[in-house]
Amino acid sequence: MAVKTKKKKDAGQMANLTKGFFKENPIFVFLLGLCPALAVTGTVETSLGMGLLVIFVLVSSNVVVSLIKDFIPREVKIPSYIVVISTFVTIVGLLTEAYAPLLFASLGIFLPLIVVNCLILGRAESYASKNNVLSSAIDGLGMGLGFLGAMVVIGFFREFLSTGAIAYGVYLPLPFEGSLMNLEFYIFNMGAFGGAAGGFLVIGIILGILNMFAIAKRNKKDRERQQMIEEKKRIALERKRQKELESAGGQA
Amino acid sequence: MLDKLRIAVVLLVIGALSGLAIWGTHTLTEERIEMNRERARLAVYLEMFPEMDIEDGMVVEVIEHSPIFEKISIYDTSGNLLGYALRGSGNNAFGFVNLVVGTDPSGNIIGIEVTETDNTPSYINPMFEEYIRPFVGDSLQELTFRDGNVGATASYNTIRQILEAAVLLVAGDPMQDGYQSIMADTDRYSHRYTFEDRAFTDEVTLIDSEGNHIGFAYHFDIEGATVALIVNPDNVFQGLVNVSDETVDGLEDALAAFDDYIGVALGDITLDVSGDLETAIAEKFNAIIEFFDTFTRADVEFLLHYEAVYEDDNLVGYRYIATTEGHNNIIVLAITIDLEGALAEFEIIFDAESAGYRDDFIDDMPNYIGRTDVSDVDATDTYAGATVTAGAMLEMIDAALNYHAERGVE
Repeated sequence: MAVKTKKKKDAGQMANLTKGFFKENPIFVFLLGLCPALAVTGTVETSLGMGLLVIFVLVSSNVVVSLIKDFIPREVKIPSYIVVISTFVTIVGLLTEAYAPLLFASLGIFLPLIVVNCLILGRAESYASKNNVLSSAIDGLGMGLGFLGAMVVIGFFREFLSTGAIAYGVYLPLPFEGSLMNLEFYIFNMGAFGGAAGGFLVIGIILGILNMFAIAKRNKKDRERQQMIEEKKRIALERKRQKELESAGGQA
Repeated sequence: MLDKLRIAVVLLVIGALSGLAIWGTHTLTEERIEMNRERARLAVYLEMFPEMDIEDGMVVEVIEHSPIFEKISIYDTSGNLLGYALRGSGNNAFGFVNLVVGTDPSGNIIGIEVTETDNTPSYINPMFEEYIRPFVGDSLQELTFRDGNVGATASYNTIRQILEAAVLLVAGDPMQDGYQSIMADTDRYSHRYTFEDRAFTDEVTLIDSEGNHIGFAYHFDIEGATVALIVNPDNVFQGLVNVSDETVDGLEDALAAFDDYIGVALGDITLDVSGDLETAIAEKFNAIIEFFDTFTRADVEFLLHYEAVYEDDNLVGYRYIATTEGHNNIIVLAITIDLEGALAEFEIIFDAESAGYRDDFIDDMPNYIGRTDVSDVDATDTYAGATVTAGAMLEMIDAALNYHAERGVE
């Protein structure tokens, strides 16, 4: 019995971790944190950097909020959470300026603005303030990874479409630098994808494609359900007829 | 009561722990951050001056009261001057911009870089590349700036102010030199007002190193040269000087012809000169004397000058000319206050505010007539959407009412 419960718990935590990847992806499903998703996804590296910083802040703030949730009076819940989040953002800002100064420069104002990323306050309020420390940490990690993944996908398309390559080692303190998929023959001048308009376009196109798949999936489910209903109806009708035949035979 | 105390204690503890965590991280990273900044600056200097002597090739001169705060003379290993790196800083509504301008010894720009800023990167970066970077190669004295429409106007104007300060630093400032030749204690100056409809143009405050207003300069044009008539705060004439780069034959001698009036109050001067240039100068000089026959200078924030208002030869109040920055440009008001210290009339002399916003306040003006105090009006609450325009007007009216009350009715 105890083993069964543990397995159930593990499966629950795994679902908790992975829900943010696709099913409840902060950017592509809940449309949370769109400000950085538009502003700093000009390159894969800045997207990756911002994603990592958000993971740090999200996990840390979820853990602390979960720890202190029982001590915070209801009236000052949100201000207290904001103080916690802004503390971690300030810390992460100082650490980034110290150890990744180019990333710090490239993120600019969007680094301190992590404080107002509604994803972070949203998870603190809707999840961490109601769950234990481990679950909150896993939720933060899962949501953060989902956010990071979405940022990197957007950054990939924007950087590739605007430059024809994916550079690395420029903003992050990596021991190597260069570029991937550097298409020497890339002749399309689509620099607009590196700008704000490109952010809107790429996110819009990705959301459109995801919605297309979601609608196709829903339609398929609807069709299957409809087929199932039709099948059940048919079986019920057949049974009814069978019964009618049987009762008619009995009377005869 | 206990609940409130609990809330206070919880917030205090959270605040204290937060502060402690930030202080700890700051202490740990402070040295490294400063080192990174130094490295970044050195990288910028090296980019501009590849032959510089990294060890001993920088001589730093601290500049005060200017957007340029450091002038660094850069030398090579043989001790030859390679040029200057001018470090400047400016603020705007979106934060700050720190800039380094590199020039050769003749003042030609060899590099410009934004070293630190919290202005939005996606705005400032493209603007910088398109409109600022192309200045490289130009002479600092011959830069042509655009009037807005650059995609990041606030950042552009901040950089423009820094570059203009760099021009004065490298090329020298003829105005500063001119003022100092008359009033040696002049450390800096501040533009007060531009007259649109008089024979003289600008009014400038001369400031000493301790921040005292030690004099005022009134500019006028003589054959393309800008001449400044300088008075002390009591309007005692101190001298005339050419404060432009223009040279006009005979101008120096003509200006010297007015030296006899130095030390005399403007109101007591009756000019008696001869010669074409001297007569032209005397016309402008008399226009300034006439101005002060009517107006008195108010050397306080927002207020420029005031004059007595008469009806049928009876003094009925005072008319104050006030100015401050509005939303789009400066606003100049004429505010009339009656002998009881109440607002009697209000007139906009100049503004470039959007009509819809400005009219919100103008329509409301009858409500203010007769009031002796407007400090209780909060522009943010009362004029939502037109806070800056209404706030600027209220500040000026408040300043006039207070100044009027302080000085009493003469």
